Amino acid sequence: MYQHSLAHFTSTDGTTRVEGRLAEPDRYRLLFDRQCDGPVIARGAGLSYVAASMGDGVLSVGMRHFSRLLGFDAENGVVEVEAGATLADVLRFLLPKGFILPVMPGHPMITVGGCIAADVHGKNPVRDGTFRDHLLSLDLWHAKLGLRRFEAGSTAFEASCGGYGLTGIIVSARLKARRLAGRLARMALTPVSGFDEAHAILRERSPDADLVYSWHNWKSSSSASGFVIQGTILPSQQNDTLGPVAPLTPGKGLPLINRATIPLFNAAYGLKLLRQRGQVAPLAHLLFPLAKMGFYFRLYGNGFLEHQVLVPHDKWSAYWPLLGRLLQDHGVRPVVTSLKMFGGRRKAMGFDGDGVALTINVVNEPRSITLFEALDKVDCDIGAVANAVKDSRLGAEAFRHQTPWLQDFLTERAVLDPDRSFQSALSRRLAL
Amino acid sequence: MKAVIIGATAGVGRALATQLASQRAELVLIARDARDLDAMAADFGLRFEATIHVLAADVANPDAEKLQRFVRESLNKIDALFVIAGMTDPADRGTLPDQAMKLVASANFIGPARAVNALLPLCGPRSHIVLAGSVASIRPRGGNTVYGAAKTALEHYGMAIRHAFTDGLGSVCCYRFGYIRTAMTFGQKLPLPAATPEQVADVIIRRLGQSGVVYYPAWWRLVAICLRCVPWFVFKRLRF
Repeated sequence: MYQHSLAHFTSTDGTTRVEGRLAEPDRYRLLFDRQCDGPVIARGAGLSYVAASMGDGVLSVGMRHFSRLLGFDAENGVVEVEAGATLADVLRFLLPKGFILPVMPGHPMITVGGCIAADVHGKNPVRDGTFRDHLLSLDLWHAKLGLRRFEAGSTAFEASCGGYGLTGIIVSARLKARRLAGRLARMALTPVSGFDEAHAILRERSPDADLVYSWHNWKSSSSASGFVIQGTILPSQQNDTLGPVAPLTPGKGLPLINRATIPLFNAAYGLKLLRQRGQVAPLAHLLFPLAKMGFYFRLYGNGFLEHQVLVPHDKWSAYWPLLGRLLQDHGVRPVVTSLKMFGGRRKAMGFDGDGVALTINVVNEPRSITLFEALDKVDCDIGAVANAVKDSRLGAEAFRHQTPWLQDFLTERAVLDPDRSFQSALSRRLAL
Repeated sequence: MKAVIIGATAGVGRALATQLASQRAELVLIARDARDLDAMAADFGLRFEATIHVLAADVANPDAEKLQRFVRESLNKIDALFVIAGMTDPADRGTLPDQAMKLVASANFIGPARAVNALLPLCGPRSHIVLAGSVASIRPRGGNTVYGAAKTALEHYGMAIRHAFTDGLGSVCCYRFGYIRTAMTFGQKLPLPAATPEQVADVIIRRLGQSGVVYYPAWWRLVAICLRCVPWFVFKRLRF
């Protein structure tokens, strides 16, 4: 049985606190030497906004000691890595060799295992897809089935990518890296008057852009001007690396981001973007804007809530005015509002498909929860899909309504983990 | 540098291996866990372009001849030999079953000493030997009867080797390590602050060439003095 200790965990968004247990095996012998003694879940960096790697009474198996590079095929750009390796670990190796992972979420301390379990997306899902699209195989361990390798396309592979860690412990993976023309990028900024204009520009640019998304500042229920931000990788020989990374430190802090300061915060951020317009910067700075701001999430005081939702293109013009009205009715002002285009196919529980992804962050307070509950109804009515690994209060009913392929996952999970020994606060909330 | 690390896959041994590999040392890594050894060799080869040789062997019961042959064929000579392996048993409170007692004694003294003995012929006047002892040697106590005895024996052996090869070895150092955050201490409530394996590895490398018995962290020397001064009628009542 794993050597473990009692542990208090907090989700990165600061809204969920659980009392579980933590083990940190440091050798394969210890990782694979487990008797079933209750629910288990793998834990990477623990940076998921929601409580995906923890649960009350759940044994979280920390993977930080399994962070080694196992192989690299420079000709084909294939890197094999243990699941506890962070994106920073992988990039520090790949960047000097002129390669990059095509899909990366917003912080370099997220682990490869976490990227697989949440099937994360990057800064241009239309062109790059999601993390699974660049994954060739994964090694999965389960106490009853042992260690098994699953190639891309197999049902177990599909269930494990975006499977929230519920099919077993992802031990290692083979990833397809992409050659990089350079390690610098130019940031272009296009002012937009609102969501419809941003939507049109993003649709036009997404098929070819290296990075493209929009940022908006809600000034009223019908006004959300902002910028389309586009990053273009420049051919260069500059040997730029990732640089130092500040670990994110979720938890309570001084509520410097609050109702009074949000307009100031957004105005300041808009000015910061304007100042960076046309600048050439290391690519890593554009990929990981929070890499040096480990304190950022503490500025919310009591945490934040994020709702990320994929809206069909033809419903977008109807969707955002409804959202604006709900924001006004509930008296909530978003801190971050952003759009990104998706152009893939939805698989199992993954957050993918064809549409426009809206992300809004709000301060964690009762009115925000009632707002998001009302938004769940709008999402279900309009055929939008929320990202369950971003939203700490999304309920099982809305999740099931929005996940028509859920049965595919449940069927495969019944094969891989018939006793449902892998559980988390997230899986319990979603009744998985 | 050509170095051998015994007990290389976890804790201080792994941290040492990582730091030495990052300095492009040529390493022989020895531990029980073949899969971890292979992973480390691949990782160090890719990240640091270091030359790594691995040997899966039970440190508690090493095949001395095979060990010597492997290291001779891999490195020919040894600049630094680090013997970091060790283990504890939570039941080591005076009533260990025979097999468990044998294992604790072997993993902490007999095996490491046999490994040093086997590799001494590959060491020269500029070679350094570092042994991982423990603050358990400060004063015998019931909380780790066999472990404390074995670590004390290893320390005694190391210092005897130092004396025997005064001119034949560069240095022999036995560290009395305080608490370290490793799998051995994971989840335990420790009465005093613990060092990280990386801190310990850094100190070992920086002080390579130092001889004798060394406390790390250094303030443990003060703890040792205090502990030795506690009169027996008080000490016998302490339960730790």
